[in-house]
Amino acid sequence: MSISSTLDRLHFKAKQNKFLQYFAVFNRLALAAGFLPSGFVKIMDERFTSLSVNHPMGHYLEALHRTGYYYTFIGILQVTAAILLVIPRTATLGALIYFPIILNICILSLALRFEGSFVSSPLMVLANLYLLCWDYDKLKYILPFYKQKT
Amino acid sequence: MKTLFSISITLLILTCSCEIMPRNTLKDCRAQCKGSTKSKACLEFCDCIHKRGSLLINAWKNTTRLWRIVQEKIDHKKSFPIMESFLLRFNRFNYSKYSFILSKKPFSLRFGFGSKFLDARKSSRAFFSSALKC
Repeated sequence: MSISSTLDRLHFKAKQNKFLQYFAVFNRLALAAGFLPSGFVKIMDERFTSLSVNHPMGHYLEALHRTGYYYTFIGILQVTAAILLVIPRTATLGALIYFPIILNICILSLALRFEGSFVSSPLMVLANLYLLCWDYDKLKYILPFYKQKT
Repeated sequence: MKTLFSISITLLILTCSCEIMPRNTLKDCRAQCKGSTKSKACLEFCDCIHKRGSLLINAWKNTTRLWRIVQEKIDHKKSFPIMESFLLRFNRFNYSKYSFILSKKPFSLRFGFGSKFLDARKSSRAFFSSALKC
C-alpha cells in the first residue's frame, strides 16, 4: 500500500471522528484568538512588550519596532490569518498563512529562551500542523508522494 | 500516532534542555540561581544579560566556562581536601577578597607546595578574569 493511499485512509477515518471535528474547530478559534490581539498591537504601531532593551528578546523586539511599516505588515498578516481561520470556507488558507508566522515565533522563542512563549508557541505550531493535516484532502496535491488515481 | 509522539517528545526535550533562562527581569533571573551549586556562574549569566546587555550566545559561553572552572574546583577539592580547605580560608569564592591575596607572592612559591595548588590558584584567577568577558 502506498503512502498516499494510507494517508487517505487515515484522514478519512479521522474526519469521521466527532471529537476530532470539535477539536479542529477549537484549534481554529484558539489560534485566531492568539493572533488577533498581537496583530492589532502591531497595526497600531505600539511596542509589543515592556521588556528591557538589554534582554535578548528586547533587542529583537526593539529592532523590529523600528523597521517602519514592516512591523505593521506583520500585524496585518497576523490579523488576516486569524480572520481567515475563523471563517470555515477560508480556514485552510488561514492555516497556511498562519504556519510560517507561528513557526518563526516558535524558533525565535526557543533560540532566545524567551519565557513568554517558550511553551505556548510550540503548542501553537502543533495546533497549526493539526489543522493542516485536517485539510490534507485539499493539500495532498502539492505533496511529492501524491499519485493521481487513474 | 508514533510521529505525533516523537514530535511531542522532541519538543519536550527542547523546552526542558535550557538549564538557565534569561527570564524577563534581573530579579526573576537571579531567583532561579538560588540553591544551585553553579549559582555564581548563574548570577554572572544574569548580569551579562540584564546589566551588560550581552548577546545570549556570549553570556551562555561565559557561563559554561565558569561552570567548568567551578567543576574543576570541586574536583580538586575532592582530591586535595586539606589543601583546598587551606586555600578556602582565604578564598571562599569571594573573589574581591581573593584578588588581594592573588596580588601577593604565591604561597606555593614561599612554602614549596605542589603544582596542584598552583592549578587551583590559576582556576580561581581564570574565574575572576573570565567573569568579565561577556
